[in-house]
Amino acid sequence: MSVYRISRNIESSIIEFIQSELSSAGWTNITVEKTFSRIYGIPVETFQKQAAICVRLEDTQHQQAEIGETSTNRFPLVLIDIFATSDGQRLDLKDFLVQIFKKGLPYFEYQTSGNTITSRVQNGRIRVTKMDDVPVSFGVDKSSLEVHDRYRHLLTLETSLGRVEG
Amino acid sequence: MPLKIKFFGSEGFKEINEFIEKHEKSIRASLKSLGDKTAEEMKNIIANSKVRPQAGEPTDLEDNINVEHFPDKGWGVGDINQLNEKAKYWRAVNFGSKHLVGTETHGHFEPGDPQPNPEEFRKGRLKKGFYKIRIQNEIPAMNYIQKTVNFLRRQLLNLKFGERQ
Repeated sequence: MSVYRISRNIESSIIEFIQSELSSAGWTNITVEKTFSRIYGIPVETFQKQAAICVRLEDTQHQQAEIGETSTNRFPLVLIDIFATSDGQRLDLKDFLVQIFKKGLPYFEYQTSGNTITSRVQNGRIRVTKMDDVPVSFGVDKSSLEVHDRYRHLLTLETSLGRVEG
Repeated sequence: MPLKIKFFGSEGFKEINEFIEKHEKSIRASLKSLGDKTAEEMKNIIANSKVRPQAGEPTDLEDNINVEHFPDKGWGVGDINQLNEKAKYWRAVNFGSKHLVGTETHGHFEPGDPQPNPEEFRKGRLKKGFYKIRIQNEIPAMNYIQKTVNFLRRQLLNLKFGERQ
């Protein structure tokens, strides 16, 4: 039995939140992953019917909470890549994600056994303090791109757990 | 990027104007130096994200990320036209891409085993040569732009002027 640390908890909480919200809203053809290689590994024929979202927790800044204290505030940067199958789907999907992130999301602490999550407990919320969304352009004609790269969008989320770490 | 200034205390507009006038030079100097720091940060992010041996290798991407100061308007980092000309792959490196996967080329790896060898993954760099090589892995997303913007936002939040620093 082992437990995820904060960064993996955040990443997994976001993936679980997106999957749950997509399901509630009736999206049935989206897969959510946490590595590019898994998304690029989806065969083209399958990918053309099924879009994908990649969630990655990147840099985290730890800022001293108060002068003279060792406690810190954590500000993780989360990058969410949308790999859509058309321009319309790309726009719909990014607007959907922007909307659901506005209110923040539950932060879960996960327990695992081997590669399986055995339990999770909510311990606060992840706040999204800043959000940017940009289309991913490679500066070339889309038809010349590999199918996974044609209709991509990138959301950048600055997040916080809203609490001080000792 | 908008710059918000927060005042702590019970100052009115008159006092706020006086404060800005008094500190204008230091505010401008701090913001200007932040431009230089931001360009340096972006270069550092790129250099630190590289995973293959770099000794003696060209650094076209970092070399073409410069800060440009515009009098009374601010500054910008990274001239897109310059990057398009001198480091064409800047978008693929930032966003990650699969466009080379499946393509074949002729080359060899150095240092280390010159032949493609999974046991020497990332120990050498691909150079022109005579082994037929089929590219199997995508370019990983470095997201140096997004990481730099995040850095800049944090720096802006930490700028403080006046007595209550």
